[in-house]
Amino acid sequence: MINTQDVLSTVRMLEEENLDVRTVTMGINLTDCAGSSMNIICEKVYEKICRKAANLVRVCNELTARYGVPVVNKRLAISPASLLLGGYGRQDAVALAKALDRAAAEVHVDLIGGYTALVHKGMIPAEQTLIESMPEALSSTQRVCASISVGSTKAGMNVDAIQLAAKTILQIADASTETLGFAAAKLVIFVNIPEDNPFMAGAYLGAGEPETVINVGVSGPGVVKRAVERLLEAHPSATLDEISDEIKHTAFRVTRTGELIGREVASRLAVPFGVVDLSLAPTPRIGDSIGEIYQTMGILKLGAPGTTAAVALLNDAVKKGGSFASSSVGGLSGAFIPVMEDHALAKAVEEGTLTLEKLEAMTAVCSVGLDMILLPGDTPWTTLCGMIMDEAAIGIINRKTTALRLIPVPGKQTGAFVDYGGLFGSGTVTSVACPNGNEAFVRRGGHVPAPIQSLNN
Amino acid sequence: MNHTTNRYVISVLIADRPGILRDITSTVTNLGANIDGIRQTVVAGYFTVMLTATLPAQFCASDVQQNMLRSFPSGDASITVVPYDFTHAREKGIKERYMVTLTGDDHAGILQAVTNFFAERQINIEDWNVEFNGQHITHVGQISVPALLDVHQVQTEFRHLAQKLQLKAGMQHEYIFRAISEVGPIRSLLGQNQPRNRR
Repeated sequence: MINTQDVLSTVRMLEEENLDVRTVTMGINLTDCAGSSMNIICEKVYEKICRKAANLVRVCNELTARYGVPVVNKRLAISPASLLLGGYGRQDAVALAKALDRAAAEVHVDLIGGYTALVHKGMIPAEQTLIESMPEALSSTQRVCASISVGSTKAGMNVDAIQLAAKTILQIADASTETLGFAAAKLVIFVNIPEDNPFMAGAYLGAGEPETVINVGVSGPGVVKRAVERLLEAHPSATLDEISDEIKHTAFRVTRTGELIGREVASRLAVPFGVVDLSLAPTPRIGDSIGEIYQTMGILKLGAPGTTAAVALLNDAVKKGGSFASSSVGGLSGAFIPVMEDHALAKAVEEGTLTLEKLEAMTAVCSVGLDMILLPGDTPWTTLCGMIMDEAAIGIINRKTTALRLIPVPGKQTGAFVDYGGLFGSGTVTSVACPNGNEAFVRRGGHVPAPIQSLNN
Repeated sequence: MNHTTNRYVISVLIADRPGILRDITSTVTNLGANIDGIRQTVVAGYFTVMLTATLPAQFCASDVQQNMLRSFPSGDASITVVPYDFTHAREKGIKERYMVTLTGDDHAGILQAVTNFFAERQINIEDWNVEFNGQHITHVGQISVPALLDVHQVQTEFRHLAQKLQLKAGMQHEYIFRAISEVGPIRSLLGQNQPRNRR
């Protein structure tokens, strides 16, 4: 029989430390849904999603009972919607978004990602149409999530696309004024976008992926925090390398749980298993926070000098533990710092210890970028453009993914409190230290060439 | 088993001390036996072991028992040797293994209620271990559940029983524990190790 202490330790992780599977995301390629009219395309898209994902939620719920591990979110990621929009206009794109929304509701998934344009090197008319449709598409649907790839280490930075993305973010926020710009929380701007990321809002199914696939995003912050707490209770003077070791071992166990659930879901649905994304994804729930891990490690005021090092330590230990646990690691695989979705980070922003500039530094050593950032509603597009370019530069030069979810809240100024509820959380409107003075630079547009790091053949 | 050998099930119960398992395995091995299954534990100072061994056909069960008794001259060992019945080993339907935990304060009647609960549902208890920490107890068991039973229903009813016993209960498939505690590939745990067709 399995060792009693191992059994009890696993039960403790399940019952007291929020061990769960954060998302099981089914990727579905929709490129074979092309048709001679948008009505036909929408019918084909609806039918295919309903057919492929009909049993996803049921199977996930069955496995939740079998293993006692909750699958918190069941989601879909489709091939880029822009691939179905060649020759169509903005209203056709909105119709497609609504068909995706209906299909997602029919199969009872939480969100569907892949309303996506890949424009890191150039933009075709269909991609421009898709981006321009986003204000209406995202504000008139519940479950549709969008992403725009604006750069990569191989391609450099498409500043023309970033300009369009920045203006579009403002329009999306304005189109959802009654929900305080919530629709903007469903758009992610990426560089080095992963093709198998299961996490929203940035999930989509890349061109090199299977027809249908199951990708999994693991749980983590609560379990990791408790592991570090237990270590420090037993050894109050534990060193940082000992903390790193503890996180590594915990990440191993968390990853194994994710792969077990993912492989069994895939097996029962007779589709290939893709990857486990190791990312520690927080929720607004107390005890399930990335910020609390840093506080447990000794950064009592998030944003204080040393915070970036703590992020780096955590991110590295998670990757090491996870990569030993599974040979199928992919997606973003790091530590997220979505401010609104993490109560400790949100509080630090509210108290002013954690600034946007410090967050930007932290994104250089973790898996995403400026995520779920509330900005004043009158933030100029040039400021957004500069913020995106800065994050893009970090990602491109460091050969890593960076991403932004920026939410200019209509009618709100710095210091205002905004609550979206649920997993999206709440937070305080913040602003960059120097919001202007970059206009001449960002208005030049064009393309920032691929860096020397891209020449690695 | 073939006509030159016989298989026996041997159990020994004795007050614990160092060297008991050595004495048992030496005696059996000296008879020319191959030990092909063993489970040993110590409960409250008492050593107990159950093993299966295949012996040359010239030895019968009483020969084995007499030799074993000679190994424990103090006479405090309780030893049973019976021929292995292959019909007992046959699988009766598809079953899945679950791990069960019960924690809380100890009181009389817990094991009776729990074993009765499982027996009524044709659920076999394969292993059960109780640890005492003062008044606090921790039961950890391994059970095999017939595939036809609705596990979710069993889990719900088991939690309800635990509540009545003022205990906290858990019941999860063994794979989750093995996945977390072992280092082998998950796909082999799930029996997905078949090589892919290569072109």
